[in-house]
Amino acid sequence: MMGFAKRHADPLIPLIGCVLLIGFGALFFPKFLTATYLLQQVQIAAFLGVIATGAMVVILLGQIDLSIPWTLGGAAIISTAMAASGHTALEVLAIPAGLGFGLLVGVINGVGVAVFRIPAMVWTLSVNAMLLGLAVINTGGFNPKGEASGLMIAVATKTTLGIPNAALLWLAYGAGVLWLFRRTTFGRALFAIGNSEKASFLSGVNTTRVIFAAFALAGFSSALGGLLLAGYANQAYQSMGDPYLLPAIAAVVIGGTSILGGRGSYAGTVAGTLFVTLLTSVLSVFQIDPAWRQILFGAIIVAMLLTQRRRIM
Amino acid sequence: MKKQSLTQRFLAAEWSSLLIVALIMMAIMTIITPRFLNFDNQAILTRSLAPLLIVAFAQAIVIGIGQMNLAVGAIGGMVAVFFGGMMEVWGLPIPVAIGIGLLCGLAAGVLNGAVIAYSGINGFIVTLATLSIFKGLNLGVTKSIPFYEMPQALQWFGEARVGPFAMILIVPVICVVALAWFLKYSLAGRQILAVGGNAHAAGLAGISVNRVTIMAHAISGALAGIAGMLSVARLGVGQPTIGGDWLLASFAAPVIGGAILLGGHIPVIGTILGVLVIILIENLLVLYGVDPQYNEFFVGALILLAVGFNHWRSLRAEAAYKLQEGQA
Repeated sequence: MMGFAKRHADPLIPLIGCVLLIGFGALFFPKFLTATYLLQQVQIAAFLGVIATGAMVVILLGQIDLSIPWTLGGAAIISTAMAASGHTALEVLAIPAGLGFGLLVGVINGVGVAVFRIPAMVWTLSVNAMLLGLAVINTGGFNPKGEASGLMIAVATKTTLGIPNAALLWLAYGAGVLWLFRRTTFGRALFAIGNSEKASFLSGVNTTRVIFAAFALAGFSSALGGLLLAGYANQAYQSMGDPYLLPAIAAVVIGGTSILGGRGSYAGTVAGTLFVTLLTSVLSVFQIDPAWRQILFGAIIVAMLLTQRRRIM
Repeated sequence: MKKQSLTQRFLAAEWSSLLIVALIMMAIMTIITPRFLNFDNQAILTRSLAPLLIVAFAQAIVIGIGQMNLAVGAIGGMVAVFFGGMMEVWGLPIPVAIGIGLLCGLAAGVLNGAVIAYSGINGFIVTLATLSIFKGLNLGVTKSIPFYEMPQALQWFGEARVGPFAMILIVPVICVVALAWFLKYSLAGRQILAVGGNAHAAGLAGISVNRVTIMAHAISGALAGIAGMLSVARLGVGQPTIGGDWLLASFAAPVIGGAILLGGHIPVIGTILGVLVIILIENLLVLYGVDPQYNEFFVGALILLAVGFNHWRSLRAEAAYKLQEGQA
């Protein structure tokens, strides 16, 4: 029993947190224990989950991607604009174009970090500022026009056999990433570089290529999250990505991934995502003043980090 | 070692190329738009320079111990609205409000530092989480509505000029001189650099790493608070959005100036010049009447260019140094 708990400790603490949140909520609102509410939470968690997956890949390297908000927003703006353009060719290309945009931003991030060797903090933050600038130039500061395509809406809001499609997509995406981590040289290299980039390079790992690929994957994940969110709201909107940067990083770190890189489990990130989503939900269901909501959110994240940290040490 | 001429010593300094870049920028701007040297424009430039200088050092001191403070903007905004609120709602005199504001910034920094030091959690994440706490307090006090009724004296201070310089520039000048002295000559300042250089070695040498971590974050919080209050003076309004756009510049200026994110080195003159370059970029866009919508894009792009250039230069300098060593 202790062995099991030890091996699966990364997701254990956030999962206990989830149970506590649901139990606490159910004391006041019995609907917390209904399948409808829980499935709805999983559906909303899927958006954050996809984004956090990309954040995790980069954090495993010991790097950080702060361009999430406008990679996400940019992809959503491009896709919704193309989907509502009225040209069949553009409509078909709407989703690939949005995802391609994410990949492109990821590659630009990778160039700065892997080739120019500029700290990821500064580089990705500047890239984010530039993307914000481009979006403002493009839309003139107004809400972007356009609407989500049928496929985006179907994936983000509809269900299959009672399970939200978004959750299924998250499951498939997560399984793919898990396979990457466990069964590919890329995955091994991610953890190796996170532990020591120098040693990995000297052991023959093409570190530049791995860093490139990791940032590209992160950009792709942000874009995928953006398309899901656009499908959910049936539109893209200014600064739609801003509320996702801190929760995505928080979900990864609460899940036991080291911010210094080289250590972490995907199950932990999934559990962290569920915890952050439930926490947000509980704080809003109780109709707490937005100011207190933000204070509590920060304080609870710190408390979770403290427990997680105690375990690792 | 051969005695170096003044020119050689100037060129060897890490900030020399940055100074040349800033001077070239100013020269080009003067030639193309004579309005650049206009006292009015200089006052605008120095007015926006003042708070950002303090912000850059609030970040630089934490970079000095090899950590980051993502909450500089949130602390600045929080102290700014506390400062405005104390004067408008409670009618406190300006010096008292400044004192309490400073304490609030200091307390926020101590909170950051203490959590980081005693939990061992990386500073990046801790400040990312506390950022949300400080923003919440800001929101709780203001409900997103600015404090408009600022005292006359403060508004006067925010608008006054001495020749081409904004009066408020005096605050960062005092802060930076004090900080430079502190880092170079005081025991505590040197301990900060020692911990940044090698925390383990510093600990073995008898320095309390925890105490130094808390001290660096406390100074950072206090500086962020000063920058917030200075922004209130500059704007004449206790805006809750103060600090919202500080983060990128706070990192970019020290990095352009030659700071190493691993810690151990705080380039004082380099950081000042880094802020100057960023402000010149913004001023350039304003003078050319570039649509403000493009601002964000160009500032981002030019900061990238500046960071990239300086990084390339430092790599070159390192290679040249190694070559010299090899020949010697």
